Amino acid sequence: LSGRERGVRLAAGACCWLAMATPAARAQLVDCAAIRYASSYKIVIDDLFFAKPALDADADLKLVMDRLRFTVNNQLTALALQMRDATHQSTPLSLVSCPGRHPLDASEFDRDRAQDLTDSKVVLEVWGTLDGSVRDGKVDAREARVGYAVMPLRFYEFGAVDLPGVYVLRYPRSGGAPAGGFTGLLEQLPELDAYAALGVGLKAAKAKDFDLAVQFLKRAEALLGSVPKGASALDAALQQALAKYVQKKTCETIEAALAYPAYQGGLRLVYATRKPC
Amino acid sequence: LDPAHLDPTAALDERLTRLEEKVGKPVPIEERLAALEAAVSRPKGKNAWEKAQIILQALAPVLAGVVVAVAGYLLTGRITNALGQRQLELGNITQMRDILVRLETGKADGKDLVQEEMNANATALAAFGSYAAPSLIELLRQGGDVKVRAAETGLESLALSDPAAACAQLGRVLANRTQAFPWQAHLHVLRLAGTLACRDQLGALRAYRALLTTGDDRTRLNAYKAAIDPAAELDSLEQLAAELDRAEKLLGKEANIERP
Repeated sequence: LSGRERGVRLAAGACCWLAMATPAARAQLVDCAAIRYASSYKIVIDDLFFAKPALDADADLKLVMDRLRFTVNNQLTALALQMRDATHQSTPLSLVSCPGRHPLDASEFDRDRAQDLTDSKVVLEVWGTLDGSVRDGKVDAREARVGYAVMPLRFYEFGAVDLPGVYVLRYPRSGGAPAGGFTGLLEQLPELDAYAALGVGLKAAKAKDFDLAVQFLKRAEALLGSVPKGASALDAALQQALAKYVQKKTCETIEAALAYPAYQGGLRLVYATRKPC
Repeated sequence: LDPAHLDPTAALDERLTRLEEKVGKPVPIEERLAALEAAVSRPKGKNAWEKAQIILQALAPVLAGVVVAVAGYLLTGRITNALGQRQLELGNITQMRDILVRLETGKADGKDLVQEEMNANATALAAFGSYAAPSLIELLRQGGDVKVRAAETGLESLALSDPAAACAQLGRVLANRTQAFPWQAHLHVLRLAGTLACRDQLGALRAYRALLTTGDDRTRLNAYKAAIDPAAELDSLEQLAAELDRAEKLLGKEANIERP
């Protein structure tokens, strides 16, 4: 396939994929007081909600919702602590909770909104939907969908068909229940760390904070490698495109640091005798 | 002829006659009175000043009345207008307050407002004309993706009815150098200045470009931080410069603006 054909297929597929992966619920993009202009990087955690009213009585889904909330908070708190150690700042990365906010799909993050959020230093926005089929009062075919909007990627690469910056992933990935049962499927979300690290890395690179940028881009590169392959060919293609992009961006950032006269950081020492890419 | 030899009476008659011939016959007193009476009764000719004086004297009471009436009307009109304007302002404040609370909190009756509802409130606020401009700018200053977009919608709406008021407010933000507005608010204002065709703000745009482009990265970043926002980064300056380019392009004045 030529690059153009591949791009068109990816774009068409991405539209269908995002449409299928999102609920037919009304978008709830409401104002969140915590999203304001600030100097620290932010991860926005939106509402987790049930796709249908009847699902909120299902014990398994309620448990999954609690676990998902716990996992997201736990992982992101750990990431924030790592970032604090890396930057020696008190709160370089803050977790922001936005109750009532629930994006519908990628179309809500148009260029202006992606820019607004990126400029407010939002590196990642996460939301979740729990769904299932209800027949005769019984719930089956349960699934969780978690949306990730990597805001700097969405803004800086806006319009790139293979880099939408907004990813809505289904759990369980294969369509079947995991070994630990449905309730155990969200105990670890490797992509969450990867997307958050990528957001920080891209934003720091634009701000010419090269040390932080390279550190987090490399972290994102490594984490993306550990993410299980997507359920569909399209998932896999988008994942591959993202991994390539991160690799390229890491190289470019190192080169930019070495070419920047005012930069006197550690990258000059590391790459004094070898090429970055 | 020696007068001494003449008859004295005859001589007197003759002398009288001769004198009368010399001086002419005296006009009878009746004729002289009649002539005077005719002269008095004949209408006398007047110059323009005399005529004006007569007219003014005649119209003076009427004119005084008219002047008093006009002055009274004007004064009453002004006072009425001032009172009316004050009442309108107070009425606007009361009505605007409810909308402002909704926009500030993002809620109505305890329920979260989605983007479309926030936009509708901002448009309703803009219907108050120039009174709404400062409030909409304040929303821009506060930030938040939903609130900022609503503020932009409101300012765009205001520009349709009162472009001067909308553009003047944008100009004030751009001219501010006391860190009153975050750089993100400036970014939105630059965007609006172009979209709303605020040609009278070209001077402010020119000054802004100087702020963004003078010196190397560190120098201009430090200058910008000192004047506008300490939280700005080099990426901020790049975005602002891009938005400024767009605004100038939209205004069609790019070629006339001096670039350092």
